[in-house]
Amino acid sequence: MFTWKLLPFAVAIIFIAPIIIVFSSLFGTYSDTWNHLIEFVLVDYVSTSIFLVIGVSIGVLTIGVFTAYAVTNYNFFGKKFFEWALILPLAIPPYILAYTFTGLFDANGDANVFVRLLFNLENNFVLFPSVRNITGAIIVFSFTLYPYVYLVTRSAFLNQSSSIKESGRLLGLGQVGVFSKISLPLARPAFIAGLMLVIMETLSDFGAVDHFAVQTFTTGIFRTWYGLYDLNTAMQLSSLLLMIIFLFYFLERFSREGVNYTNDNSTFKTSKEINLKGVKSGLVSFFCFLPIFIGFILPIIELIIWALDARVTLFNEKFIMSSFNTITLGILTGVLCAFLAFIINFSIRYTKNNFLGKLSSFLSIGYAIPGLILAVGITRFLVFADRNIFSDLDFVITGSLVGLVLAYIIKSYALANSSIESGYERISNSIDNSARLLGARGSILLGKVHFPLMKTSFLTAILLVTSEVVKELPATLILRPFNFDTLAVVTYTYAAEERMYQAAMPSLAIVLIGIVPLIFLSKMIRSSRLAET
Amino acid sequence: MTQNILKIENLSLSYKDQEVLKNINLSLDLGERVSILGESGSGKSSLLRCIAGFENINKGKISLKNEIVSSDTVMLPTEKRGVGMVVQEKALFPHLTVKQNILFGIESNSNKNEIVSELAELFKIEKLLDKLPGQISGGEQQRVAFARSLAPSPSLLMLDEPFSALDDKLKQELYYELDKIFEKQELSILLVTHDREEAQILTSRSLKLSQGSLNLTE
Repeated sequence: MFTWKLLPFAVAIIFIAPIIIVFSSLFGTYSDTWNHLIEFVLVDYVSTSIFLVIGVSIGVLTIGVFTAYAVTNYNFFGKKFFEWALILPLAIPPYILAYTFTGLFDANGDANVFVRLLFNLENNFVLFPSVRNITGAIIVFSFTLYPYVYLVTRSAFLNQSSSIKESGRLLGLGQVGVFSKISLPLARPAFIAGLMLVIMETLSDFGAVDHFAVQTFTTGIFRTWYGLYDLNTAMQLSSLLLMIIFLFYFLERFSREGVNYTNDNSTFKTSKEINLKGVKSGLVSFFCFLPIFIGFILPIIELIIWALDARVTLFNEKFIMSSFNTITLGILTGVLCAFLAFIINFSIRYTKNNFLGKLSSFLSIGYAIPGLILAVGITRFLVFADRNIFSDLDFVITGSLVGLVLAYIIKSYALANSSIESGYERISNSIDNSARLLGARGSILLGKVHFPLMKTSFLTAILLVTSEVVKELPATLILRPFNFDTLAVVTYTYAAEERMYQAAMPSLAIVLIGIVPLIFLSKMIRSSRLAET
Repeated sequence: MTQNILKIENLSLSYKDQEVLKNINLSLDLGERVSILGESGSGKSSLLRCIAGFENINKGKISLKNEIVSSDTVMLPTEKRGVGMVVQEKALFPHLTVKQNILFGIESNSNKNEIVSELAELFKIEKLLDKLPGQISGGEQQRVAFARSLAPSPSLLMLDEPFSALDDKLKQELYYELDKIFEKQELSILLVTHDREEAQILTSRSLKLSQGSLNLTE
């Protein structure tokens, strides 16, 4: 029993160590670089980040909430398709959308060339303005991240009993009134939680803002470290960003736990969809199609065109090697993460220790930590370990795959944990009781009873983590061993050199793998309350 | 001459191929209290939903205060019908306090605070006004639901098995209190229930919606 209690603590220490190392920099010395940052650029980083967050929040709320309300409450042309297709942009990481937008909307981008050809215009005519600015970044984040708001808000709308809305109608509200005075306030905790996730993702991003040359905290951290070679100041800057992100993390937790407006099953009544016809149906369909077109179809088309136009061998050694590395790393991390989540959740169940449960949800905080900051903390952590454990040798674990896999595990644990946790919820406690009465304890109960029952959850956890690992850019960029490329790194390198045609194939591969978890998400939506009734 | 509040003529309703209501005729005058008895699935709730404007009828017409509100050509939106409804699940707005729930339908009324005070006293919920629905008991929630429905002074109050989730003791208490309130306020009531005792206490006339929803007989 003691071993099962000890294990989650040991994992927690490894998870927390890089974060503590990052924060410890605040108590060290401050270099001239720090003073320079404070004096000249920090205000820019803060103001740009605030502007970006406000813009993206407006964007994702507008798209996410309205599309969720439309597909939940109305019947219109293409509704069944939009229900699941609206989550497709989740498969496109913001940096890939940023690359394709640049290719589309630069002065000589495909969109402007197309308009010139269509209307036989001069070569210097530019219809679409450049997107390499903060407005472009806001558009990119809004159209790739709105599904976070869409998913949770749709779930909240599905859980609103029709009798509540009908009461509103009986008390004098029209359809707009029901939306603004009943449905929207009731869904507030959900969309605020979704919004917090979007804000954390926006503040954590490196690839898109770097490509658009937007000065945010993450680009600042990267430049301080790799441009000014000042890791300590990079850590101090990271601490500031981390504090802001943790603030949003706790706001997200608070908004989920503070208020519960869901109906219990005994009184729930499914809402009857309102049929829209003619112009109204067309308008709603158009509004739902637009985010899918901009956030998914358009970049895919652009990537395919690039891939077909590329005058290089697409399946070259670099692509094959990076694909192999990516998939191997993804599956390895997936298995480790799933195993870890499985053991920890088993420990919680087996020892019936509430504190371990809280510890497990605390470990999920890793998803909120930007990959770049994890990389900073882990590098310091590994250097410390090398110096103290392998002092007689050269660097043994720094620069190996250990740091990279550790970063992935910390960042993806939440995904594996949610899958394993929901799997465990479906196993009745009486099964444990029967097994224990028959003499099965500890590892026997885990291996012979729980594992066979949890296979699907285990596999789901591996797939979810793998698809997340495939997309991760900043941590991979920094922590990968020398000459070890992944699809994300290859994409980034090509895009940084403006070799977009060559970036197309690895980008498409990332998107393809990113679609896998969406299949599971669609299943989850289908198994939600509406589908049950 | 007594004012007619509700008139239903030859009403039919189908869901896909299933006929739920067929040739229903019903008339209700001001202050009259009528109950409709029937088994589960007999179409009782569907009838109330048609009157409230939640369902499009297939045939016939429904008039409220001599104005046609539902027919094959007319479909007045629910919010313009001036009817109230209390349902089994109470359907209180969980994000609003008891007071805000009662105020919901009378926000533009200049006497709204007086109305809330009167109803709170009538339904003995004065001490609950600042609480959220999730913080009060099932019986108290049902009192709030009644107060909220009565606040806009509906011409017709429809009750869809409003007591079925309450225990017997609570039901008896509410029956007699509501009976007094309904009488005092001269309310027109249409109660749907499968409980004969409930119908006898709260209404003066009972009708039966028989299996297949074909006949409505005294």
